[in-house]
Amino acid sequence: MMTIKKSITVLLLISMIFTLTSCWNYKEVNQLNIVVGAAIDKGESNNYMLTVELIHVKGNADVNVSSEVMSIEGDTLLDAVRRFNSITGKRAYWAHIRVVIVCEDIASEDLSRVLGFFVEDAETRSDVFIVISRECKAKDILNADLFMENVVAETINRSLKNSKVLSEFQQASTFSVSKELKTNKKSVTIPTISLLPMDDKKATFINGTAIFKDNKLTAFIDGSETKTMLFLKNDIESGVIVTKYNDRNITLEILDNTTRIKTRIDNDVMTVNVLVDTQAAINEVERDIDFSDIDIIKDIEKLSEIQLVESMEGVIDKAKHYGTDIFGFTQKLYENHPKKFRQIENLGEVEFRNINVDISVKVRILNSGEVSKL
Amino acid sequence: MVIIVEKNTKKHIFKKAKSFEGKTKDEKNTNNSGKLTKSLNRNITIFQSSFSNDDTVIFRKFQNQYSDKIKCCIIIIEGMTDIEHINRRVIEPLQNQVFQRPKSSVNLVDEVQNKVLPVNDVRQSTRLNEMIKAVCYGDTVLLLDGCDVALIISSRGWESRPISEPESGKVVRGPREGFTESIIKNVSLIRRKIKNPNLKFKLMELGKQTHTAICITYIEGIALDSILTELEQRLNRIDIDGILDSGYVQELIQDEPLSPFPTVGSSERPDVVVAKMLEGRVAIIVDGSPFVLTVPHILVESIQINEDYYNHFLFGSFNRFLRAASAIATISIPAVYLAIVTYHQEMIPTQLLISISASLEGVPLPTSLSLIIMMLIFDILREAGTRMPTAIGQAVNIVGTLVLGQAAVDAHLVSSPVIIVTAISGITTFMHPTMIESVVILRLVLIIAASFLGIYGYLIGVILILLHLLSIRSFGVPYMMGLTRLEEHDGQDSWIRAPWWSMTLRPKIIGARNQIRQTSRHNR
Repeated sequence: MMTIKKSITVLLLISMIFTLTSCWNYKEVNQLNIVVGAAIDKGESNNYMLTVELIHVKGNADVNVSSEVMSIEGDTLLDAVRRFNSITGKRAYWAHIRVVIVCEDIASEDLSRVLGFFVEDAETRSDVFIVISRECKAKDILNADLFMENVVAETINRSLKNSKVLSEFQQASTFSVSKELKTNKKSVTIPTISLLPMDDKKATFINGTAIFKDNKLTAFIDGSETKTMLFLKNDIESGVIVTKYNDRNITLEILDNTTRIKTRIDNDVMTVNVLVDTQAAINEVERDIDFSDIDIIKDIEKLSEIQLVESMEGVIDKAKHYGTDIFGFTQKLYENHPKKFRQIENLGEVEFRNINVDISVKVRILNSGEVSKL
Repeated sequence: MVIIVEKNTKKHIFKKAKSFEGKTKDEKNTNNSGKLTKSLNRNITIFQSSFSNDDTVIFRKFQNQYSDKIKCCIIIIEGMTDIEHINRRVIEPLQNQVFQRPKSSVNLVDEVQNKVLPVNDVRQSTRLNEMIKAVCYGDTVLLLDGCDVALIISSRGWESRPISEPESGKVVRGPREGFTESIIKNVSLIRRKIKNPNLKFKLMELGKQTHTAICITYIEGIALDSILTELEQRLNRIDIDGILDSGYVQELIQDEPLSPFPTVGSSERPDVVVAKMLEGRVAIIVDGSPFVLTVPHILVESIQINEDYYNHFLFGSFNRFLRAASAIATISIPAVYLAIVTYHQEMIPTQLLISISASLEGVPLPTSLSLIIMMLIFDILREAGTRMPTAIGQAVNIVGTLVLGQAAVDAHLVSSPVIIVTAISGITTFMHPTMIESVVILRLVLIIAASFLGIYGYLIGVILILLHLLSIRSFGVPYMMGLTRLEEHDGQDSWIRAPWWSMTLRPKIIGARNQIRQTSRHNR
């Protein structure tokens, strides 16, 4: 009797598993339209205009991949997403989306509203790259001309993945952005994308950063300012510093960079010490310079240090002007001195512009770069 | 093929088989009193009525040339008997030697047995049943006129296959001899490897009609008594009419009759069987079958190949790893592919998804159905290929590769990834031939599970299989022994093959009676 009861219990438990299979279902791959890129603009008659780039596969043995871009309007994003089915026939499949492009109009209203679909939906990944289109519609980016590629979203995806080489923009994913939007101690930064005219074609060009405050786009900074920001955030892995020495351009290739941030709260005065230690190699010079002269090297180091400090101060001033802490200094202060920070916070709003930032930069030129290549 | 005739040298091992009682009940319906008379002609009639309608039984009457009073008759069956031996050693001395008929009839039998017949294995018998049985086995019954006692002369000899390399389990390095259909040869093959009085052979007889000889062999002092007694009990319980191959015995004595996994091992190679006996296993030789059974049989033996032990241990371990990996791959790859492609497309890298999507363009069948059909076709080809003569087998191969590999893809009947998956799963099947039986079934079960529930279904299937594997035993030995724990000496001969100098202990439980295999390093 016990065994019968037991086996019935086990059978019931097993049959319960079948009801817990969540919302996925049997679907054939060729019945899916693979979405690789999405662009969100303001609609004319509805709230949003969603533009998607779909993979178009032809051929059986010789696979021929191309992409097609189409737009549709909807009151909400999911509304628009579902409407695609009635155009294409096949179901749009969002799990392989590479990049989301948000137009600056929508970003300056409220970014979190459009992010909801990409973060909450079961099908979309949360590590999708997000970029903000600048000075053009997001949909135009997906319609840009292609160079040596056949899918726009894939091109953008690769550029973002290689961002470390240039250090003029920093990748951001929907997940990290939506997470950072929830804190008030750090401003969200998202790379900006624009169209770059090339002969009679238009290429996509990622450069610079969009800065957000309270879910709203507040300012843009350009590529070189972004690089300075990355110096302050200790996110530099590679890149170049162009400095002038006796009216000659000298390019320093960054080999390694360590930025240490020390925080201090004395008598309600918050101070952040930034110690930048950069190792670089001379990579490109306009005319012959005697690298064997240690004094010349020292001079170049000095010059580049001054240049870096100046640019950092410039960016910090700009950030202070907009009241956006894109460097995460406030977060750092809170982490290091939670009690004191809360006291100040209780007195009133912690303003980024009230934080003192001391910068000291050390540039060390390790070699002439003639033997060091990337 | 060379045909050799077995000489009647070591026939004594069969005598024991005859003392095995209880299996001969149905012989009682022969219409005789069970006793011989003193008249030769009457006796011949009795035998003729027993062997009525059997024209292969030869009754040869003759007499001594010096004494007319000595009349004899031998009864033999053509084809079962070494005729040359009987002619030279029985008929010739009886015809040509001068010997006197003693006064009493019983003494004549003694006289013939002791002085006339130059044969090593002769015995007297008065029981008719015993004599009839002896004739059936190929022995010769010698009837003498005036005697109610007959002589049974061992004369078995029939044509059998010579020892050759087995078709299964080919090796590059290692002994090439294989068992044959003859139990005597098989016994001698084992005896030649273990020259030791501790090697024991126990004979019995199975099959109410076939009277097939069965030999249990083990090494005393290593094999566990509990396994031995359990095996004997199970063999005694068998009450089948015929045993034509060791497969009958295997299925009748195995632990989990419904399990797809074999709990009794079989091998065609003496070195494999002897290696298992040295670990403490018991072997069962069945007359007429070149496959010798070994018990207990655990899962890890499916990935152990004799060549592992003859090659360098690193190479052996690598091969064993490949075998273990392919055992998992062969049942998993089709199911996992199906699950990912039809349920979890987000798991596929985009590039791969695109090419899979392209290959599915214009294919009418759903992936699950086409995969099941391709797996079935592969199994059909495999089965057809095994039964075909070599010449036709090539035609099957060509049809298989061309029609299924190329044409089916070109005709958009199946997608090319499905063909690739089928091929990988099919090839990995052959990495462990002893598991084919279980793999073919489990693979289909997992495919069906995956087609309903995706990865989820596959995992449910795998969990159930693992639970089953962990729950079954072979002759009291856990089936997963050696695979679940990696303590010292436990994992030495499972996932890897440790070097011989480090394998100082026999496997646990199976070799529990005498754990130490070698002492050299163990004592250090």
